[in-house]
Amino acid sequence: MELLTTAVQMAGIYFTTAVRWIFLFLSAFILIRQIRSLLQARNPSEIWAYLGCPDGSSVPLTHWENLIGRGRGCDIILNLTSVSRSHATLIRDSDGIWKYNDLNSKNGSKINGNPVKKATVLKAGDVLTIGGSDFTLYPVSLQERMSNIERRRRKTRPVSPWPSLVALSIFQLLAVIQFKISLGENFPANLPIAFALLCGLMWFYVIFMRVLKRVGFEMEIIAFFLSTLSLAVTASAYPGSVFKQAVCVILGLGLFFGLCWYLRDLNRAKKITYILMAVSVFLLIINLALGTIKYGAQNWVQIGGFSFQPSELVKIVFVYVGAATLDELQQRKNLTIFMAFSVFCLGCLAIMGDFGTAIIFFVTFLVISFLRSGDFSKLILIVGAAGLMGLMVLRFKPYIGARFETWGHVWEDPTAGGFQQVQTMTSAASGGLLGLGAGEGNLSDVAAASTDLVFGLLSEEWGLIIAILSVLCIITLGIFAVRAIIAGRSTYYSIAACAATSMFIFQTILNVFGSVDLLPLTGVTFPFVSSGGTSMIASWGLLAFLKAADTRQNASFAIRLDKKGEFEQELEGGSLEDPDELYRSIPKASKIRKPSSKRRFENTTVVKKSRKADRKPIQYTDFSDEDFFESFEHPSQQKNRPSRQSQRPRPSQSLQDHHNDSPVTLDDIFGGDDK
Amino acid sequence: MKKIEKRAIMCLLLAGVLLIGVGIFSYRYFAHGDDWASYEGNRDVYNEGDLSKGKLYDVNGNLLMQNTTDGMIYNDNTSIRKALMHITGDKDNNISTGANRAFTDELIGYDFINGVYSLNNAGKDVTLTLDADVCATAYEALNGRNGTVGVYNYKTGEIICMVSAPTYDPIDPPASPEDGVYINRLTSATFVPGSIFKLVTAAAAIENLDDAYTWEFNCTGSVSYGGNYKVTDLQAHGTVNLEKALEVSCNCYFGQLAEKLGPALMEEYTKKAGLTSSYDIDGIKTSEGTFEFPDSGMNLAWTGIGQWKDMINPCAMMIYMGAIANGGEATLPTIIKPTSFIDKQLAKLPMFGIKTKSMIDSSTASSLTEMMANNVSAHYGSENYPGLNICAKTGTAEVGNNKRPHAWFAGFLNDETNPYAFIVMVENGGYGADAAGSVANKVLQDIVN
Repeated sequence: MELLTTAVQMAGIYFTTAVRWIFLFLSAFILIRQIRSLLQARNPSEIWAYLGCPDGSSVPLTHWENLIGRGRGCDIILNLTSVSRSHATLIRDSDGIWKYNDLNSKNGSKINGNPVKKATVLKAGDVLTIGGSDFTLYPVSLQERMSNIERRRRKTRPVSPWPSLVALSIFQLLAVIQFKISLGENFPANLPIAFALLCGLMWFYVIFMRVLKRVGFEMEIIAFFLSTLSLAVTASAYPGSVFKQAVCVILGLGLFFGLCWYLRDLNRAKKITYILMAVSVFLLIINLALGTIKYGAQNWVQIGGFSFQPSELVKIVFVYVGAATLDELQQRKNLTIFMAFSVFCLGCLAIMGDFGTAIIFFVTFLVISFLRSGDFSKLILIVGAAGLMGLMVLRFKPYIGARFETWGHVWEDPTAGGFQQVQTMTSAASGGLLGLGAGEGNLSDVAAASTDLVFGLLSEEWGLIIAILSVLCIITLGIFAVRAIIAGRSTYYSIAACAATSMFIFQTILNVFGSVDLLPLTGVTFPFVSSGGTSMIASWGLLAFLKAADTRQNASFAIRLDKKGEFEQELEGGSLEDPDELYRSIPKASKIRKPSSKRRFENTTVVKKSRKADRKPIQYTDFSDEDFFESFEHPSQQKNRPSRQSQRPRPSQSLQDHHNDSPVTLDDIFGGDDK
Repeated sequence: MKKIEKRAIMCLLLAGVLLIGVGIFSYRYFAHGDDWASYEGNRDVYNEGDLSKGKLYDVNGNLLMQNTTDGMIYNDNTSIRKALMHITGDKDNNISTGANRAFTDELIGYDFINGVYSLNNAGKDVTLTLDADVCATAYEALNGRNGTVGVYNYKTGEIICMVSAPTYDPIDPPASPEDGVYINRLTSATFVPGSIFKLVTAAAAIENLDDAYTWEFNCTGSVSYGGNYKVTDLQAHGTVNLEKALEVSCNCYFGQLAEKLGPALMEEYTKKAGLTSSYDIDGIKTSEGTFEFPDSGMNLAWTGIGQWKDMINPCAMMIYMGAIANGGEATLPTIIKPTSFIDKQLAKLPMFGIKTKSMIDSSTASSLTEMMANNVSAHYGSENYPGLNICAKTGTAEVGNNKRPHAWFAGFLNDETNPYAFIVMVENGGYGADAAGSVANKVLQDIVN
């Protein structure tokens, strides 16, 4: 019997030794696949309509929301002196209806001769007069759209989720065995159930989404992987709470699913903004009234044995409110509401003394403001003012001040002020690149090891490589969000995705840098990984904004599937989108030949339009995605590339689009909106 | 949309900050990871302030010390425990050269790939180059007197004997340990060298004076510097040349020689001999010797004789002996034996393996070797060192305060199969050859046989 026990013990020891390597390879396999797929993803642009120009050419509209004007920052650049720098907006809503609005331009705009004062529906075939020149909106024909989708589908090749899921399942199984070895008698009976729950959940989610014909799962798999690590660090630090953490993953996924579904329809999404704001205000007030103080901040609410952090959930609403569509960006009201809401949130957090979360909100506020206005000088003013406020806070909150004093000197005070950072660093060093094995570390005895110091706990038990891979995942989400803007439909989705990733990234910065003494320790969570139910739910919630910006064909659940039936419904919906119908409806003086299907194979659609009794061809210039990405990635090279438009002799009135755009200057980025 | 596209650079900037920060942390991790891991607050390797893993063995595989979560376990033999206390360390970590303080990285088995991971969390086995039995012999030879014995292989650099007294039995610490018991006298202390320093003066003369071998001086037993100031010998040696002066250890001769050389050359050769440097012996840092070189006169003379303000570290002197034995190139000492495959391979590389330091010309080294062999055969008596091809120099260092002088015996075996350099110092032991020479003989006999 004794022999058997010894044999089991020895087997356990060798298991740990070997499984450290297996964990490393599995996680590298899973994460590098997802990271590569996200970084290589080319969100191919979608074409929603064409704008016919007076010179006979036409410009594809690749976003739902387009800014028209002479300025280089416009989506459709009209190089005419009579056009203002930011002249007007042309916006399509989720029902497919285009609206045109003039931005108080100097020379004004007209639709069919009527001056445009407010957002006006622009039907296909209407004559749109911008600064004296006539333009026409042409829809994309059903056929072209279908071929477009087919082309996009070919370009959208997300990595297959199945090998990653299998690897992750093995990872979870081995983790449970490893915990059985390392925790011994402390092994919680519900730990396998928690891991099984998570495992089952991810398989169910992916299969369910495949049934709904979705193909992109990188973000979710990253999130599932990080959630698995979350269960693991929770098992090390609070073995009793693993099951709770797993339940919170389910709740988080539920929220993710719900938000994705809600964000599909922009009109619908905008409608609940006020309700969400009201709920947030209510939550924060409840927090102020009933909050309990933990680690110096009053950011917890306990109701009936169930405790949560309202400020975590408010993060989602903050992004929800901060994001805005292009027409909202022109309204003062929308900005005022966002400002007021920000001030309220920051004020509440200041009263609670939750310094870390306040900084996260503040930085997200800065990012959102910048995305909205692009005005750098204003931002500097805001930062300056906030810096002064911050100094006041430091002055009056001695314990935060003490953290700043220890910053950079933790080794001089390793037992008191710098205790947590020194423990994090020593533990990280103990773990090496491979870790000591899950549950084998000792950092878990230190307070907040699985939340604020989770980077140290990961390094100690799982190794530095897995810890750094987790950080790289967060960075990848950020890069993906930025790249997705190229093919973004609405500024709402783009701003929301950027804001959400900024929140993720900045939170990671504070968490990781704080625990290793690159920044003062602020006590915030690592998205997805840290123990804590509310943080987990909020992280999944924020991920929905990223998913909503993923416009790769059929990749995201948050984007409606383009299928044949859907168009027909849309077409029946009244907006004249069927070209045949359109051409019949505006024959007037001009005779329009139907687009020849022969030519369409070359991605060029030629339509003859009669002007001054002269038959003159209109060329639909179709953007190829390669051109598009080239112009984004190598703005300086594009001039050398022959563009299809420039090959044709052009009238003196030349119209520019992305192809002939000059390189981006700092002024374009930081110059702000010139209304 | 296009504006947003450009403004999104903010997100990328944030991501860049995160990436750079992680990069900085990774750099620090690789640069300082060993310090972090061996920090005494590291819960993975320390248990309530005591290292909880790692074993220390001697070169023959005898367990010297083992860390457990219940404290330190030592060798069974009392003499070995006492002889090696300054390397195994005491239970309260008072000794800076103790393994738990000096070899923490090695004992916890830190490397940046595995961190401190070890099978069953047992730490790493560290094998020393020391021979526990030789050390015990050395300790017993000191016979209760304070002092130190150091022996190392001047070809490989391996230290095989490192003993310092006073000491005590680490498993049974005395209630009030005597002063200085925690100091490893071989590595961490400095003493007045006395006549063994004449070897440095002699080397300087050989390399700088054309008539070094032929210049003679008539020793009358005293050289006056006016008033009561004088350099004295116990007896008049008559007319002596360099070889004879070294053999009889003539103070008057070496006092004159120091003046002939001048302070600058004396300082240069002291420095070249490594007596003012600190050596890093696998983490143990030796003390630096200190000297003053007056411009001229009696004090300069006494400096050349190894008195005045001369203070040397015994280990540094032992390395100088190694340099003479090894043709002028001193092999720097090591105390940890590479055991793992990787360490063994690394040790073969010039970067990590045997390091040397050039101290004197090879011709000087062979001259000194001849003279030191002559010392033994003509003066100390070869019969006192049976079977040993020994080259040595004695020292009797006056320490003042009416105390007996420190006895020194420094040298090496001029023997291809037993290439050992040694230093023996007996505090207040009296005359060098009598007190220290006999200790050296016992230890060397034990090693050679």
